[in-house]
Amino acid sequence: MASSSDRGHQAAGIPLKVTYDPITGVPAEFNEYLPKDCDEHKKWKAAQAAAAEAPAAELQNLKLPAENIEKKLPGGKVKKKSRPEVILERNTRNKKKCVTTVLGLDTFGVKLQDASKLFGKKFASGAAITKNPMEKDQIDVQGDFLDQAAELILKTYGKDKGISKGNIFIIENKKKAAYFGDDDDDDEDDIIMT
Amino acid sequence: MFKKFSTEEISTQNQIKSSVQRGIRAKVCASYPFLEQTGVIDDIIPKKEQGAIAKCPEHVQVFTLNGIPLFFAQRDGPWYPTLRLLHKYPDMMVKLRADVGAIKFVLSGANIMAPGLTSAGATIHEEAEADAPVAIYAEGKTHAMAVGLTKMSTQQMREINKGIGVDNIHYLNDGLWKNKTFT
Repeated sequence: MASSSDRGHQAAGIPLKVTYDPITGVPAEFNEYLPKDCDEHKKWKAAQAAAAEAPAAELQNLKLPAENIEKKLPGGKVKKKSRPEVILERNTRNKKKCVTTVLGLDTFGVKLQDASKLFGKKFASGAAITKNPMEKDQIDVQGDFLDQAAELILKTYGKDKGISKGNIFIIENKKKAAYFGDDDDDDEDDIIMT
Repeated sequence: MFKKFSTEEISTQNQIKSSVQRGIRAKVCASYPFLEQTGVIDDIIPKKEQGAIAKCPEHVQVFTLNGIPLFFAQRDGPWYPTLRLLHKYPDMMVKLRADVGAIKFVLSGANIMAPGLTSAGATIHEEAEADAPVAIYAEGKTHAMAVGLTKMSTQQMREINKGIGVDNIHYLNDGLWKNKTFT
């Protein structure tokens, strides 16, 4: 039945199976030519950097405690990425009024708008999102709510976003020291849940 | 054409009448005789299945089958295959190979200049007329990187060697490539 000479040509017509690179989605031979501003290129570069570092990085990560994970971008630039942590601060505004500041919720993926609303409601006071001189966003709550804020964060975001006691820090220094030496002067404070 | 494209830009997507589908199939076979000669057109556009047309900005229509885009055309122009389809049947179109220097520009959507096809690294595998759909390859690579429309014939490219040789219609990692299915 299949006697037509076309059958010999069928081989040419069979659809070629093409394997695209799992990261970029294009044939692997074009990976390096992708435009630098597109996502696929960035993912590919990240994968390359990870592959190069893999064995050494594993040992390092075990030793490094909570602080800074240095991330080497291809091209030799070093980008510091701090471990996600929440920092609570209390600053005095007037003689008796203070402001409680919550820094670093967004490093856990918490939406600041929702968080600030929540704080304002719970504490029946004003809460606002402000910018730090260190380009991080922080939530300011009017009043002294250090402990309550810490508890609230644990309660609401503890399970969803993985915030545990070890990730919350309180600054107990005087106001001036706190501003300048935010990360260095941290005192780790365990929240005692009663 | 598809530099910025996403499925949100599809205005309508309708199943088409079999008469229209036959019309498209006929036009495709006329443009790409290879498909009919080898019979693969029956694998690509089977007679029994009903395809759909998605209407996109700039009067672009995309012919899809089971959600997978196969061919597209602008206004009443020629039907071009999507790159994913071209990769499966590389022999369906005339091949032109541009040199390495052109690759990154083509992948950003740039048109291919005549010198890019006449230089030492480039190869003109088959002759083509002006206004013909062609597959653009790269020096040293096995897969097509773009689908284009010649602005001048290959003979003119050699003679004049200036200006745009091929218009870049659809290239690797453009909007159409990134959307594997139109659902």
